[in-house]
Amino acid sequence: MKVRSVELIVLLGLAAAGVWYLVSATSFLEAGEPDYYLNPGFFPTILGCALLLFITVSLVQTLFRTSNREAFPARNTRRVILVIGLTAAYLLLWSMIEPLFYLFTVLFFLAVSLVLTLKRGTPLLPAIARLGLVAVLLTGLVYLIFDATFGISLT
Amino acid sequence: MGLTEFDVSVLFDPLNIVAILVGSLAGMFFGAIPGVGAMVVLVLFLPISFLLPPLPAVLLLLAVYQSSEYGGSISSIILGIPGSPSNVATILDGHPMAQSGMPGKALGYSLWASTIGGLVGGLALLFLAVPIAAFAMTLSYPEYFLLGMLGILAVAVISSHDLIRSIISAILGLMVGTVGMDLITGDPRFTGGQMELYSGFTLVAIILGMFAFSEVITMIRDKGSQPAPDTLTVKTKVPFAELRTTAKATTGGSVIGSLIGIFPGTGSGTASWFGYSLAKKLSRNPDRFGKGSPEGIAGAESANNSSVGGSLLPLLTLGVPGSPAIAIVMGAFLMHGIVPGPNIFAEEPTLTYGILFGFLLTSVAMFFSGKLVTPIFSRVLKFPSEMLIPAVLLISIVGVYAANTSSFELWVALTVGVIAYFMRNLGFSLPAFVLAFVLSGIIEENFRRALLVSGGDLTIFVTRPFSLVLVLIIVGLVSLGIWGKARGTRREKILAEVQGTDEQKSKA
Repeated sequence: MKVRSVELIVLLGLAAAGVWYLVSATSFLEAGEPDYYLNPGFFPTILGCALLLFITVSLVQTLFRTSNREAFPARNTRRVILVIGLTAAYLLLWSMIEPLFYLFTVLFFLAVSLVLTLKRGTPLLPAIARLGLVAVLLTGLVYLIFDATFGISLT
Repeated sequence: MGLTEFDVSVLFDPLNIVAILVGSLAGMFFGAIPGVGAMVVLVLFLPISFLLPPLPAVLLLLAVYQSSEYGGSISSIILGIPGSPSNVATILDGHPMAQSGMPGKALGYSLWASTIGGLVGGLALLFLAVPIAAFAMTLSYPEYFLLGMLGILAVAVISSHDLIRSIISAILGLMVGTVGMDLITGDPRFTGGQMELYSGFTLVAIILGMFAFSEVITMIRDKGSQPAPDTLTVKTKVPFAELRTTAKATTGGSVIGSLIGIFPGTGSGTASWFGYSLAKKLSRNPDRFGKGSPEGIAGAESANNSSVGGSLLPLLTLGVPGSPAIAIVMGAFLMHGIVPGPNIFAEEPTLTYGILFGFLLTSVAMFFSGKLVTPIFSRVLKFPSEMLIPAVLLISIVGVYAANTSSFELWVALTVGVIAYFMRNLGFSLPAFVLAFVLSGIIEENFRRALLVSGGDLTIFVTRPFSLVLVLIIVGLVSLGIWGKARGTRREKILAEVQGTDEQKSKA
């Protein structure tokens, strides 16, 4: 995908968020209020207007820019998506079954490191053994630092 | 309490010493990893600092910051890949020196210069903090509002090549900072009924998401694009006679770095370039620069470390962080319920003077840690990314959870991380966003209180002498940014024309 396309998507997304923010901010304002600066919507209204103004300028700049040939950096996209998915799954599992945090952590580390290691033809078992050992050690370190030293229960 | 009345023995409390030593070693270790840099290391240690009392917490972060600046020079010198933006200038002479078979000596010069720079920055902090804080007591709401705005705009102008998107980033940071209870009326704003948002987004979730999670995505994307180094053996010993040849560069770099650090928004990256340029101007052999000159290394490294002390000055005296990294240190203060600013000297004297003197200790600890572990930490460059990436990810996740024991924060951090990845690749400024987020409360409250005092009259911002000076500086800064942007656009057009002509020629 071209950088300009991604830029337009992001700027339009930000503009939509800005409109929502501005509408919410103005809902606090009351007509004819004497001490308008004490209203909780006063400062956010200024911010919302400023955001929309600068996004408009940036959109115009993006649309009229002459050099737009380069592509958005997208190396290893599949791995990036997989790691984000694994992270989301890990967070979800942890919040649902808290007592199994340490087991999930070992599995999460192992899964992410395997996603980053494995290529076609890589022997699977030695990789699992090596990375599994690191996963257990690192999880142990997390336990030592947070649970044992600082008394923060992660389960 | 004055400088001379401070009981220095407080600093030698075992917890403070352990915090400084751990911070020095960890900063050096993580700082040596290409791409990780001081910001990410600080972010990773922010949740841990929350678990300590205020003084060791701040000393831990300052030790991390100082040492990661030096640690970054390890990968700059050995691999030619900067550990962080502030080590880019070090590559120019550090890497050629390493390639000529002297990586240890190059690191030795870097370590000495970093230590001396750190000490000079610390002394500047020690002697200038009290007078500046006394002056800051005379300031009021309009000045604090304008100082906050100046800090954000300075970062926005410098941290990205696209001024408009930097300003958008700063506005977004301010907007995210308005989520939660209104500071003056107590009304909930933009919470969507979520109880977790009543106290606003937490600093740890936002900062870890912005820097650590988005960095992890970048590391995965760039995986395999940089070759791993061969075996490494380095010794940092430099004979005194050789070290003396860099005295001028180190002194100049240290002084200019401290001064640059004081100005909000400049940071250690800018300081290192100024230090490098000054060293070249002061040198008897400017022709050697770029080919492995020890003075080049000394100028850049002394300046980036001395700027750390300088950038602490506006935080402690005015409550405005001088750089995004110092904004994270400010986070440690806020998490402990302490608001930095001129009053901190009266309200928290032991903490404040402890920081002023403790900062010097962090430089000394960095030197001895560097001497001991640089040869070992150079090997971190060979650490496989398939283990490093999940380790950084895991530490970040646990860090976010540990700060508030809330899973909601984890989702916030993950979402922010994905958004931040796109933002950093599209010319938006993450430092401007973070600084704006941190300063949001200060800016809004002082702006509204200034208007309350003046009865809604906006001229209050230009009728007070120091306010007027600040307004003029802001106008100058924005004009400078627009002028720089216009020059950049003209250069882009010329480049595009040249490229077009070249393409036509090659087709012909």
